[in-house]
Amino acid sequence: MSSKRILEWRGHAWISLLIRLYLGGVFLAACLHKIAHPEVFAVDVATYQFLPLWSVNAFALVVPWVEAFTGVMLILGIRVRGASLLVLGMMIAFMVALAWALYQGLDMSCGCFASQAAAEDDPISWHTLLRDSVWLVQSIYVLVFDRHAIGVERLLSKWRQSHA
Amino acid sequence: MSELTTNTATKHSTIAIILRDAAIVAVLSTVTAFGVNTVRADGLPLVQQEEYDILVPCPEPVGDPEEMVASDPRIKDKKSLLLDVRLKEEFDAWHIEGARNQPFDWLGPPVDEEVKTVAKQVAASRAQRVIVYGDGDNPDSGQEWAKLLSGARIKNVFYVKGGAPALNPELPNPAGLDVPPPPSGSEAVDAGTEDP
Repeated sequence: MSSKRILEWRGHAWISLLIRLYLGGVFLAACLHKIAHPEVFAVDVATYQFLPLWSVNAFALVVPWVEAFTGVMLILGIRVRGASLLVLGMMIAFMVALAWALYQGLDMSCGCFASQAAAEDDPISWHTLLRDSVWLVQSIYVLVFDRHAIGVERLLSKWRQSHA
Repeated sequence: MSELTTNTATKHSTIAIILRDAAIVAVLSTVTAFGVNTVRADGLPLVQQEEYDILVPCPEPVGDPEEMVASDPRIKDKKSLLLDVRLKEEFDAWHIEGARNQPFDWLGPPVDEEVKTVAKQVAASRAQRVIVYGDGDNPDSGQEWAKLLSGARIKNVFYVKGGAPALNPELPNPAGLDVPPPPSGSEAVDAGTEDP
């Protein structure tokens, strides 16, 4: 089977839909606490001791909204490849920071879904890194294979064609 | 040839669209984030001036020392190095003969250097084991010091369960702690010095 045929296999859209719903849900769940309490998330970011101090607040403010937008886009099927590229970028950034913290031996919360106060519930570990790498692979799959994403954008396109 | 050129152009165009979409979302997110932050009464300053108070426990290399009861004959063995980690005044009032005083300060600065120094002394002493005793409180300063020594790769580190009050029943017990009873038919471990 040629690579072109693999890329254009119709099943990708359905597999990708499942991945998108899952990833979108994960990112929406992850952003809620961070948007509601940016000051807490800023402390979590600072705890990684990875970013320079001047950039901590901007990062803590912007990232949750990127998660929110990409989560909605993935679920609804709007510009999914652009959204998955952002997810890919975030996952790489998170994994680098996580590996750094693990290398430093920091005993801290992941900060992925809750706060540093919940360190006992969600401590960083190599399992966290493995979990993130699964999400990374999923985002790559959507980016590469979801060329005709099932969702709002496709429905609108069909509706426009039928009313043209 | 023209088909190949068209395919390449399409591919480049697709990548450009993906990058453009991602950039739009990133800009939109940034504008929204800063906008919401401006509206919030407790918005964050965009550039943090003061260091955050980070409450992450520093990774301390601690080991797993063995527990020893006060009646254990190895405490009197000449091949044991005894460390009394209580305060100097307590040490001066009473200690086991031959014990060295290395006070454990709960609220003091990091004890890394002290641990290294003591670890070197232990290594130089050629003792077969290190026995640490502290105040016998909960947590026990002796056990904490023993953990630090074990973490410094000193082998055969023990701590006396119940600390100094278990070794000498005449010493006051730490409040709220059940100290194991002294060994039956024997007196307290021989003291090197007594109250003047």
